[in-house]
Amino acid sequence: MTDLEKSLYVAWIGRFGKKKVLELTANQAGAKTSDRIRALIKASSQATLNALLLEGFRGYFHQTVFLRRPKQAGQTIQALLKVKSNSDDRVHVQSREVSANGDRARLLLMVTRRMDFVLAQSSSIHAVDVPFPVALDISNNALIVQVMTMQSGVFTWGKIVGQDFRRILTFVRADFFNDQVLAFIGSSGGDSGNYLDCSKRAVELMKSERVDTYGGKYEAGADGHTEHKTVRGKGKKALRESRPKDFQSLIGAARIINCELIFRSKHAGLEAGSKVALYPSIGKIAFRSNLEGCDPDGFIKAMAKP
Amino acid sequence: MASLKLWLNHSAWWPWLAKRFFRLEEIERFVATTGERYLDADLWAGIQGISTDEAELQLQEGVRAGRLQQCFLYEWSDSPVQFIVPRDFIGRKVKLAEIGYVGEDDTRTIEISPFRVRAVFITADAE
Repeated sequence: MTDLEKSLYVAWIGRFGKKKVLELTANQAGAKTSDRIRALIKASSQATLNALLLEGFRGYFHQTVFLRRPKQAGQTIQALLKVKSNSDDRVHVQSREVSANGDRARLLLMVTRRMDFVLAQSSSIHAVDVPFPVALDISNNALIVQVMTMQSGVFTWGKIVGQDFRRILTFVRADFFNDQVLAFIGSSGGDSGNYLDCSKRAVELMKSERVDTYGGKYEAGADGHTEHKTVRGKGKKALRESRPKDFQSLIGAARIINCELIFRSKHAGLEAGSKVALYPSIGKIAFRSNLEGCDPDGFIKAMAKP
Repeated sequence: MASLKLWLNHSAWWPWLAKRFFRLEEIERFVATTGERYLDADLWAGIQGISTDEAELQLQEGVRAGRLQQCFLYEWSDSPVQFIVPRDFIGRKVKLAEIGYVGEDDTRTIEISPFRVRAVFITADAE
């Protein structure tokens, strides 16, 4: 493992949240958190680390999720099980898990993104190939791409890369990683199908009294859209209270383009205070808060239900 | 005998052809009366009470008959508006201003990724 990879694993495992990190590194009591994680990485096999990352996607990582309806899930699973890739490829398979009857597969992929930074001292550009972990889940019901959110600042990236940076020139956007993974599926002989419209599930969610909606955009026929938002800040009120008519129009729409939700209490696998930006008509879910103690996997699967 | 067989074969096709032709007219009438910008298989399936696969078949038939055009709807979250592009735009970069968007960020460029579009149908005479 290179120094860059070691630093990335420290950052990734750090995203489990304090409680889980302490639990994982219980035998290192007294040491600094980063040292505890480094010791854990040193003592773990690659297979253990892969399993840990997949566990992170299931229940901890701040992430963006893309849902699709696969056309030939079985054939795609077979294609991805056979595909050969190595760490030099822009997308490579790190690990594969397949259900006993072969109708569901979960893969951990590493997608490499060239990132450009401006060095603090010389102002010259420093380019680094950075691998990002992405989880891919395929079954007949849905194809799910989970991208870890790495919106780290210039200082954190400097620590990861081992340089002093002034600016980040490449922004990390989840959409890019989704595109790369879908292209990889196609080039491996699989089919990624079409993105899934989960507007119906989003409306169910917004109707729940446990969820507050602060903004939403919906399709008005096939020729436009309408958007309602509330004023934010101290004393902000959800759409349900501040603009009840607009809220009714939003939850009456057939296709929801986006909605901003904050969970008032524990619901659908997410804890009170969880923030989610949903893009239901394109099957995109952006979790905007730490998911420690939540069940994002359960939430994602519920959103993907036909 | 051979001509009778041929006639019978053709006659068996007539009701099917008539039914399909009627559907195409129905699609055109729907677009004209509702002013919808496009039709997709889900919407057509919902209106007709048929499966999405059957709706897709009917719409594709409209394309073959020259009455509809298949285009692609870009509705990804990085664009402030949805817009329709022909197939040859897939993979290309377009400025928001080029697709008719007027706003502060109309000089912004959007890359039409094949994974961020879905097939929709417009009438063949639509501009």
